[in-house]
Amino acid sequence: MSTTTAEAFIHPALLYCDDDEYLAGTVPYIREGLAAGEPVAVAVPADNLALIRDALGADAERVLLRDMMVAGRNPGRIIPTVLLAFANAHPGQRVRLIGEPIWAGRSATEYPACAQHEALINAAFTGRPATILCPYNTRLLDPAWIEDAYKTHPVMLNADGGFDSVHYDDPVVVAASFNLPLPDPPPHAATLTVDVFALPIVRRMVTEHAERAGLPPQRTEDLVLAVNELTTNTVRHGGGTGKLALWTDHDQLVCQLTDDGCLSDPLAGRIPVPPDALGGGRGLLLVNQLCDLVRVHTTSAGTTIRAYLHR
Amino acid sequence: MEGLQLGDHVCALVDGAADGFEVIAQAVAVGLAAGDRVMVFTESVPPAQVLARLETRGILPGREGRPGQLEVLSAREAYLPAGRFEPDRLMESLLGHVERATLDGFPGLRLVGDMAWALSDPAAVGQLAAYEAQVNHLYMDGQALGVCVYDRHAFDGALLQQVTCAHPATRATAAAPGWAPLLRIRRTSDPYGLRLTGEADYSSGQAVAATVEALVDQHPDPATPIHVDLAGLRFADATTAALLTRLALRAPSGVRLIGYHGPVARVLACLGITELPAVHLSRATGTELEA
Repeated sequence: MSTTTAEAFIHPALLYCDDDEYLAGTVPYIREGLAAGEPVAVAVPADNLALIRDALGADAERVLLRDMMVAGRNPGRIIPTVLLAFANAHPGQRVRLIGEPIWAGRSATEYPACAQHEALINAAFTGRPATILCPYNTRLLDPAWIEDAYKTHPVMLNADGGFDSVHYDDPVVVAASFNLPLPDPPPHAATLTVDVFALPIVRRMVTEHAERAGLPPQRTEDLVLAVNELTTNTVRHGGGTGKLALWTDHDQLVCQLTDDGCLSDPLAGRIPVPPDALGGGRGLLLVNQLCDLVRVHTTSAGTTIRAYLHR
Repeated sequence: MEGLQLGDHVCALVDGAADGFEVIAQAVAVGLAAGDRVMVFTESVPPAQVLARLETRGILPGREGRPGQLEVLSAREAYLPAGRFEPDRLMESLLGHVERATLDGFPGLRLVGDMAWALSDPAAVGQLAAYEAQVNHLYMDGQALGVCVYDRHAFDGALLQQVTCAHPATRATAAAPGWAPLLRIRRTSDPYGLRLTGEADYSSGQAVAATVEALVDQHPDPATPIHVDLAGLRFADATTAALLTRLALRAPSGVRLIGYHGPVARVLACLGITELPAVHLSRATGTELEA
């Protein structure tokens, strides 16, 4: 193995259509990593996790297994809290992961954030010695989502072998293609103009709204912390004022902040901040940790961030 | 202004001179009733006129009042003694006032200042937010309180935002009955440390940041951890949590966090701060959990 290979980041997509193809594409990959002494982590939806666990037998003990539907429910937190967290926990070692962030139940609202996540893995892991395999179920997923996998993965694997994707593109450009306008909040949304003096009012308003919507106390706290960080960003970077909108949509609470700022760093909120780091940069990271989904639309004219929390 | 306690440092934003005088008059009345010494630094209205207007309203120490309980001074003379703004010298002079109030037998000193003096000195305007953050060192020991009156029609909005963040609390509109400062910062002595009460967010961030530095720099016994009493803290944002980290890492023996709960416990855990070796933990239940 040459030095360049050892240090390069490898990010293949695995196209599979059934359990057999899934196991054929994942289990030998895991065993190869274990044989090479690489730390291995698997973050996939619970059903697939069970398949892999059974197939690995005793070797499952040697692999970090995480249910991606929990750990990666919000696609925005997968890079910091699943992928980079694992890589950072093994400094100086090449790590091997399986990350399956896109499953059949992902909604149309979630999908753009999933695609951005897949693209930005390439930016976040540039120069890092890691291999991240991303399985895609070709039988269950929207064909357009499979097409996008060709743009976000330099290498494609299927039952017949592997090949370079000719559609692979600059991760920041691909992520930007999913920087989409969000539909207007519904007319019944509660709104508030926010500034530096409004922070306690925002917290009270979110608490009351969440309690009325039947959110458990811990989730209410999460939402209050998240919206407070978003409001703080608006006050600090968004021209001092902005607008908060708050509403309930079926089983989820939605909070949106709109301001005149522009979120120029595509990796904002996706890079872990060590607890002993003295600087800032924790606000959006915390929002990603606490919320079930974060959607962003940002242009030079302004930014809208929408955070979703399920009841 | 009834809700103020010694140790508080409040930014009072007012609409014009009349509203400003209203806040000053309230602060004086409450301070005199509490038996504290009150020093008023006035800018828009000359000292003699302030006294006359307070007298008209019946807000003067009166016969029961102690000699020297109320002093009304020219803000410009107090804050710009040599014609220019020297924050260090000013801090020393304010500390002298606090000590003098104690020696004269007052339970505390209340400083009420119309900050419009700063507008006469461009250099002072540039240093104002940093000075307001530094002066928290003076108040956090609980012997004095400060009410800083800023006319929002006279000061630039961006500067007012910075000045706001340098105070633990801001009175942004005419205070409703039962108003209390959003955050209270107190230094404790036995054990040495910090007590935060209320809610800590961006609007008090620079005040907490300045407090953290002073706590470490003035730690009398670096071999013991700095106690941080968070039992009365209802909310802390990510920046406040990062400042507590800074305190833990700067203090030679780290910190002991006491009584944190609710959103404060959540944010500390999410950011991994409770896992740091320099952070010792005593949760709200009172059970000791060594990290």
